[in-house]
Amino acid sequence: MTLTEAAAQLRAKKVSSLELTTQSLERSKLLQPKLNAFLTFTEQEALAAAKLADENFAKGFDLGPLQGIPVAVKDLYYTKGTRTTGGSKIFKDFVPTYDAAVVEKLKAAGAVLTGKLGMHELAFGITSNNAHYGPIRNAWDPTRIPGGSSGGSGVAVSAGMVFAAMGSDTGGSIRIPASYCGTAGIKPTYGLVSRYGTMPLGFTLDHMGPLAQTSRDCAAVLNAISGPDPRDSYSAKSSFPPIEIPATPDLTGLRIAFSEEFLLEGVDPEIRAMVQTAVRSFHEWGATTLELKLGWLRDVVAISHVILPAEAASVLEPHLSRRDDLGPEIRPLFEAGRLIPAVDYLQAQKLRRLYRAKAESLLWQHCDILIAPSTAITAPKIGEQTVTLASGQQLEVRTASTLLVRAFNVLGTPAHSVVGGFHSNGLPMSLQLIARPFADAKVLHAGARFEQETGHYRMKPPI
Amino acid sequence: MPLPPTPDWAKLTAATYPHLSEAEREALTKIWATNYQNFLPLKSLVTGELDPDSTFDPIASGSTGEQN
Repeated sequence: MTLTEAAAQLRAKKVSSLELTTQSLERSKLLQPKLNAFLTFTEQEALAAAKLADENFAKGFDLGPLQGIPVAVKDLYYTKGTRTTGGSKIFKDFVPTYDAAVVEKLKAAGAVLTGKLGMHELAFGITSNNAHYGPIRNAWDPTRIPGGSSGGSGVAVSAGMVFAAMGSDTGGSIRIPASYCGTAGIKPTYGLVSRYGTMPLGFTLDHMGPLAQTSRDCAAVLNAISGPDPRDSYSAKSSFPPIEIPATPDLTGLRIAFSEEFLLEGVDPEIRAMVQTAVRSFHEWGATTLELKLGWLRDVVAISHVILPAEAASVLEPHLSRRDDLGPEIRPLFEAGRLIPAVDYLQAQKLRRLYRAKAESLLWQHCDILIAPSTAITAPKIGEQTVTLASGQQLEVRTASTLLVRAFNVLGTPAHSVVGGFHSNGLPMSLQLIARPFADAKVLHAGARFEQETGHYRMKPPI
Repeated sequence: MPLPPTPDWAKLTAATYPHLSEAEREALTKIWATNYQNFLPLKSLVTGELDPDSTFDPIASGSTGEQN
């Protein structure tokens, strides 16, 4: 059952929020020893929130589609009175005195928070193989990574523990776990969702967004959490209308672009074929399709390699004296970031402006949606550093996971992952839909139509 | 005379982090190789009048970092 379907069941009084929440907690706890998705359960608060939601339904109060729905948040969202570790030993006892803006909004929408989800340490990586809290495991195959850094969020949604989970995405950290776990997820336009009360990593690259089973579910969460917030200085200054997805989204006239150059290079052949099939399908459903030369996106990835470590080091520098409390994988990333010259960081931010203008003229003038894989490979094994494709080509796991997603953090565009199909190895493959800034509705509409036509999102892990 | 392309990362690393093990030093060197190999050529595209993307907003409030 999806979030949208659960919302309908609640309103039809076929199920109560207390029942959904109890089932959610029981399933999460049952699977915790096997998958390690959660860091903290907030059971008492969740049950109280569920009872309140049921009372509200009984009184005829309806706060919208999230009312009474069990959800969870990545452990970098501040939760008042509940520890927020960021997946780090440094913050293992940190208990915030206020809620993140997103948590405030989820609660105001009547959502039921069942707990805090595990993640890659300080969100600076893609495996979620956490040195302090143990590896998070993929529900499709527990010997494999779920992706990261929002690994617990991907697992919790794919294994049916919650209907939606909040993640964050600085260089793919929503879309990579969505890809490896077989869920939907959206990195909204930068500024659409407040970052207030979240642990930053790269403050001009951090995007807060949901993972859920479908585009419609993502839209429901996004509608609840988006909006201006003066407490986040990079927050959009104006509101945008809620995203409403019609029963069958009409794609007539929508211009959908793909790029063999860069976005389909060095990609697992079955994933490339999945994207090519999707392009043909969108054409059959009424869209216009075209190929663009987008090799310049490689430059945008290079820009992110300067901005991110510099910003991350500036965030963590007050704690870098505790280097032994940092995992060996992320320690050098922060230490390297400290050495980036200020001039290079500023040049990178200037180049970012240049490439945003380039994206406008070379990309968005020609298409409404850019289509690409979310990742070049399916979920690798825990501990694997390289993977070998059927073609014999060897790919480095970190690069194959991040290469196709990082540019869109620099450009600040919405980027939406949906389940694109299944590989012959049985693992999910993911389609990424990207649009110009603040065209979040377009990618969600296209994603919803794709899901409706293919039904891939209905496939569940054998757990 | 053309500028040297970057700081000498090996020297900078050794000066800043003198107590790193050889393996840790190698990890940093690998990061530099990744980060800068494609970035340096792009710097020639930057002109003097181009502002950085994250501009200072004199009326923004924003968080003052209450925690941690």
